[in-house]
Amino acid sequence: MKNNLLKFCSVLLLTLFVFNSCSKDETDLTTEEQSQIKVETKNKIQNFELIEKLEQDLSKLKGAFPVSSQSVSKYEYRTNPKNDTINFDEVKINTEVFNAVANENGKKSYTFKLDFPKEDIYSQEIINLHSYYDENNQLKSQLIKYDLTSEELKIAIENQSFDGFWDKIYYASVDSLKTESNTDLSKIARRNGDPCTCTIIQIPWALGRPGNRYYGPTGYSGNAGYSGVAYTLPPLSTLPPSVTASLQAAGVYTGVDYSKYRSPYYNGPSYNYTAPVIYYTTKDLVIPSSNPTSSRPASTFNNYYGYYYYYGINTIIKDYYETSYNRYIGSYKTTKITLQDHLNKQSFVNSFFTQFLYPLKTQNPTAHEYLRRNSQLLKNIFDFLSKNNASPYEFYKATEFVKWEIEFEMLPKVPCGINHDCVKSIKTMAAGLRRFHGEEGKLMADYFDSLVADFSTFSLADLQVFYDTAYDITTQFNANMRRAIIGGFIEGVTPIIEIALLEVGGPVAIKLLQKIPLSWVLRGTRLNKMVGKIGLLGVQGTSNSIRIVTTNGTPYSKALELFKTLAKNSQSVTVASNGTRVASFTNGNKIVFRAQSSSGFPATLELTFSKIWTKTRIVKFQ
Amino acid sequence: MKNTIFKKEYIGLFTEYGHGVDTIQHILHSIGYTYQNIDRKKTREHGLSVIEDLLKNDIIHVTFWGKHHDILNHLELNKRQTMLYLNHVWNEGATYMNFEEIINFYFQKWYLNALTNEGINVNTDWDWFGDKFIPNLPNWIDKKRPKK
Repeated sequence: MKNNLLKFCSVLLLTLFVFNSCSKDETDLTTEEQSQIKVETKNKIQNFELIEKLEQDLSKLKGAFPVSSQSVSKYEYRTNPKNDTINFDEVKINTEVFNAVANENGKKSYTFKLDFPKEDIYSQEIINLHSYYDENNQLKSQLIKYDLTSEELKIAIENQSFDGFWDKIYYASVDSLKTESNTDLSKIARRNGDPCTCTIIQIPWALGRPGNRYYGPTGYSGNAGYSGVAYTLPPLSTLPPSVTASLQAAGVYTGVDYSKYRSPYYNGPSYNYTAPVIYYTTKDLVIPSSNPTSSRPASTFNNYYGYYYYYGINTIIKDYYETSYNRYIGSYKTTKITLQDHLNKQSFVNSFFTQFLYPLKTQNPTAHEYLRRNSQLLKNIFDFLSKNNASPYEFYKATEFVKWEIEFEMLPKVPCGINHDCVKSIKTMAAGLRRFHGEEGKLMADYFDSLVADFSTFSLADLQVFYDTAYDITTQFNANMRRAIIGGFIEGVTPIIEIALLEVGGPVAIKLLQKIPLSWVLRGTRLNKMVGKIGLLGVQGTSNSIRIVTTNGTPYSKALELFKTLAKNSQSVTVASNGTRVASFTNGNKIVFRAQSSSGFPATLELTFSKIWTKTRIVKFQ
Repeated sequence: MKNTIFKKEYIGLFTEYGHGVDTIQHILHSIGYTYQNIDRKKTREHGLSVIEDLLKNDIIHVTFWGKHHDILNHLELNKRQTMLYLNHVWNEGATYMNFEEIINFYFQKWYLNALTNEGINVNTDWDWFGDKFIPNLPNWIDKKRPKK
């Protein structure tokens, strides 16, 4: 029965696995260093002081926990009808594998699994014996019991925190155990709630959370010099502050900092961190009031009155709250909401409403009105902000971006003309590109602006073509930002060249190409990317190396202008004796413009970039 | 006639919609050579042999004679003389940086016109062209080539 009583946590299982795969003659099985803290898994005690102490402890444990008839399983009770005490030898300290932890001062402590007689054969309790040196360098021992289901234990390990399970963790000093039957550790752990009449105490201040101030009859309250069980069993977040700080400095995860979840807009009840609540639902979610000083309080998700005002907001929030990104499958899936998830999501919801949505109403009522009626945009913005929420500054930057994005989305959808000043709209796009899309956005914005001066010479049809292209380019930049891809420049350059060659009239095409600034075609990565895209224009000839571009007229001038644009940053442009123009770059790269005089096509661009292609890429214009 | 060049793999040699024949480099790309091996001795030998076949079949003609263009353009060199000249000016080890000004070719007019009349254009199924048309090219050339 004894072996059925205890169930190791996964760490210990791992330890056992390692142990079983090693020779028993070994002393050290594994070693794991966390900065100054050294964790070793051992299988042989060489410390005589510890051996002596364990013998004393075992003796105490046998005396303190005699097994009564209550401790026998129903099955055993039937097979052993005598209502007498079972052999005390069933209490064992498992020294076949144990953990030794040295703290940053080199002070060691040891954790052993206890094979402990208990009443419930199906109990999933874990009881460990922890031996440590106190501040006077005296070897002391304590028992820690984790009365968790396997699922709860899994959650605690995943969260690296026992938050939510504090009333399921028990502590007792072995040195002060009484040798009376009512000191039975297993008895107090019984789930049907027997009153505690023994020396077993709940987690004291040093091992519990602030607020759980029950110190227990042992009087143990912990101190900064204490280097005991906290390194191996209880959560790191419960360590004395000085130790926690040193651990954090060493990059060790020390649990959830609950203080940051205190929102000034949240007026609900305090969280009971000791309550064994594991999963949360939208019922626990609070939507802040639009005016925290008004009498209208924050409402719970289910009672939120704004659903009818912000179209689709309930579904958006529900989807966000109930799903999490699963990096193993690379997508979002429905998940159970732990306390930490809940607090994170509640925090974002607070920010979304109080730092973005409500203020927008006064800052830009038109944009707010547009947004509240556009559920898809609202969802996009909500999702974007939720992913750009790591710091207040990041969140602020993200809100500034989405405010411009709303303006962009609000641009008239009607054709350029009387009711749509497309030049003004293009300027709006340029402003956003310049402000939010880094160096590449600035390049594109400068280009848009440089064309604005010439738009009066564009025909309405050509202006419409360019406007549509500029709109698509800006959309692409925004989409890239959503996918956390920097830029969108090359995706933007290609359509401009395409419309110049294929759609707009000759004079406008020449302008579009002529105004492409030098910075777009600087030798190196930028030129290579641009050339790479040009090498994909048109349709394929006999192989992918050959591209046939059918222009809507004036192929020669368009191709020549494109050649001049690409050659802006070349080392030299020479006219060969056969009449072709050759732009030479570094590393043997070259672009050749071949006219009809030496080729059947009106114009041909030949791109020799040996780092991109193994053969010259030929673009033939007709 | 030895069928040395009428292969599907050399499809780029026989149409403007391939790498074509404008320079030595175009011809070498058309028969599969890349920047990595374009300057090798064997490549040169193979290139010379292919150009000779193209000339013999009246598929291409010289459009530019390099630095001697002004003189040679006024002389009517025959195919053998052309090959001797080419063999002389194509230095071993020449690479894609040099080919532009050595010599230029282009398809003969009759050849291009005959292809157009055959319906070969940007929409041609190039698999068909490679599989069916090129193997039959010697016969087709015999039929379409202007009689001397």
